[in-house]
Amino acid sequence: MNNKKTIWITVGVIVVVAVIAIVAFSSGSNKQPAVKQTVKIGLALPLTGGAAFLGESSRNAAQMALSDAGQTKYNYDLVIEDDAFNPAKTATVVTKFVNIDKVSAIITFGSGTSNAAAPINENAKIPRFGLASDPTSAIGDYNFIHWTPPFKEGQLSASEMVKKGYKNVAIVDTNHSGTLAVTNSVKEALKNTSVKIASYDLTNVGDKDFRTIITKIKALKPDIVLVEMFSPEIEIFAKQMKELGVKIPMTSVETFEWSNDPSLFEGMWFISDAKITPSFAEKYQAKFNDGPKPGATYVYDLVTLFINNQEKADHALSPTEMRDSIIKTGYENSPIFGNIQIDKDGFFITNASVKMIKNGKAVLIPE
Amino acid sequence: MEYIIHISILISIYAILGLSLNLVVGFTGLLSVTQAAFYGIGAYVTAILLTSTGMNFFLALIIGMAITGVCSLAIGFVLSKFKDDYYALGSFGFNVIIYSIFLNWQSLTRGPLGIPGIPRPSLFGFTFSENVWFLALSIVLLILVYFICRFITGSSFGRVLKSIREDEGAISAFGYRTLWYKLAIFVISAMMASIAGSLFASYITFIDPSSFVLSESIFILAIIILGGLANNKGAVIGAACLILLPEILRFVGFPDDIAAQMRQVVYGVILVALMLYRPQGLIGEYRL
Repeated sequence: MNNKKTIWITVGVIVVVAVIAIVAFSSGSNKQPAVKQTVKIGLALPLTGGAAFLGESSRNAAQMALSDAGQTKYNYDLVIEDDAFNPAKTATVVTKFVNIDKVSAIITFGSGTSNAAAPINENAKIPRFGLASDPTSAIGDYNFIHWTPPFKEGQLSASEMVKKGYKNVAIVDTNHSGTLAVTNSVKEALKNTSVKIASYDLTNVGDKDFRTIITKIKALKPDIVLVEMFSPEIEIFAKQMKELGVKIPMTSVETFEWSNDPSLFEGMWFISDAKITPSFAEKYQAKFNDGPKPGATYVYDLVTLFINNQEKADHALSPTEMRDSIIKTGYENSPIFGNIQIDKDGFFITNASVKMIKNGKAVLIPE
Repeated sequence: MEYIIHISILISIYAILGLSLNLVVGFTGLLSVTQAAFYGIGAYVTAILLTSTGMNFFLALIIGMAITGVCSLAIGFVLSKFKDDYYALGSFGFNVIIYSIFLNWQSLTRGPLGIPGIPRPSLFGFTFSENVWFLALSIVLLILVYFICRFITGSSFGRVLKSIREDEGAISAFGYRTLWYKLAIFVISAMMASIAGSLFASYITFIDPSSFVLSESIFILAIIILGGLANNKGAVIGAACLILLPEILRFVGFPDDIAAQMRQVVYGVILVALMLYRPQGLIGEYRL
């Protein structure tokens, strides 16, 4: 009897919450004026957990793209959901986008999450654009990747090392899908050059003591150290290099820019993703009192792309029409990257750039 | 409808995990937080066999159970040297070790890159590609696991497990070799978790180590504590509540800027309130 009562109480609580949720949801959707058709864009972003700062910056960028669009023929509804960077949660969120929200296009953040989402939107024939480095997440007719490809960054990193006359490089990597994709590209690109890999060390997120690795590198005396680490590991590594009196210059692919204290790498060059128009970064900084984090530029760019394509049409585009219009017209005059090519495998091809840390900030080195 | 089917599949998978852990924690009183590791072994064995050899899902599922059984036997043997809090700490350690293997044995698991493109199960030429059929398969396996758990807990073997939980010294005095009982239920529980792992890998079609971290073990533990320890129905109800609740909260109209954080807060408050009013869980028979 007592158990039955408890079950009824539980069921009651769930029903009450569900009713409140449905009422709130339906009242929210009634806010749109009936005269304009609404186009929904789904964004699965890491808004909680360790990568939340990336997701929040991307969410801000999406909202900024919407407000920058100004007066439009159609209403645009950004459906933003948290996937906590967890592939299983991404699968749930994308299933919701497809079946409940009926979005016209989807943006996912990360390689693992994009891989989990890919079969769902592919079956539903809804285009999805991943901020990812793993090419498997672009397999299919409705899957795309908008992120400077790692091979572009790897090639530029290798050519810069050759140009600067380096003979050997020590690589310190992190066991993470993003950094592994990049360092594999660098290693591949270095194969055809005179630059030799003096050592390769793999660290894990959360490691705190790199003295053994640094001591080994010190003994090997490489010309440069390629550091692929996230914050706070990258700052700890740089400080321990100083503590141990190692003055070998460092470089990275993107990760200096992700550091909380870029001044630790003052005067050092590194490879960054595609060049962006300075006005975007300045505008973002002014609006949110913080610079855009990795990924934000791509999200801004994609939301703008969807809006631009939709505005050219005389009716609300179906997901397949949205995909076809993007493939057909390509992406000329991107507000962030200029002209972008979309290749047959669904990659938005943008070129990597060379930057350096100057006065604690990443600045572009003119070609 | 697809969304509801998707949520139902996740509930089935987590209900299997809850039922399996309940045998160890609820019925035997061993506070284990290694379940995500066994879940992961099942998922990885299935994923590797399906993607590299094209093996049938059901054969891969059985091999996954066998490999998980062998691993859990070794782990359980070591854990049997510990008691109470030390047992929990030891099991915590094993979860971390197995996670590290998933992450670092890159030639086998592809490490953080994960394994994409895992095919859906097929049987006699029929592929469970539609989610509704996959749900049917998940429910069949859930019912199977549920009745196995009910059989175990209702048998004389199950009564010995409960006696171990209540007073291991007393049952030992009657001549029962409790080590073998504890080992046996630990291995059975791990093999059941492996079934959930196989289903998960084949359903999501992608796995990486982030799905099998320690927090996943704690989530499974929360399922059985909320649903009610030492009650098979409690594990299923707990899974349904903990999977449904955050999904329901997605439809509450919080402003976009704080929605994700607010949902977490509300989710946490509801769980705390439930534990305050029902410390033994919704239909539990035992308290930790």
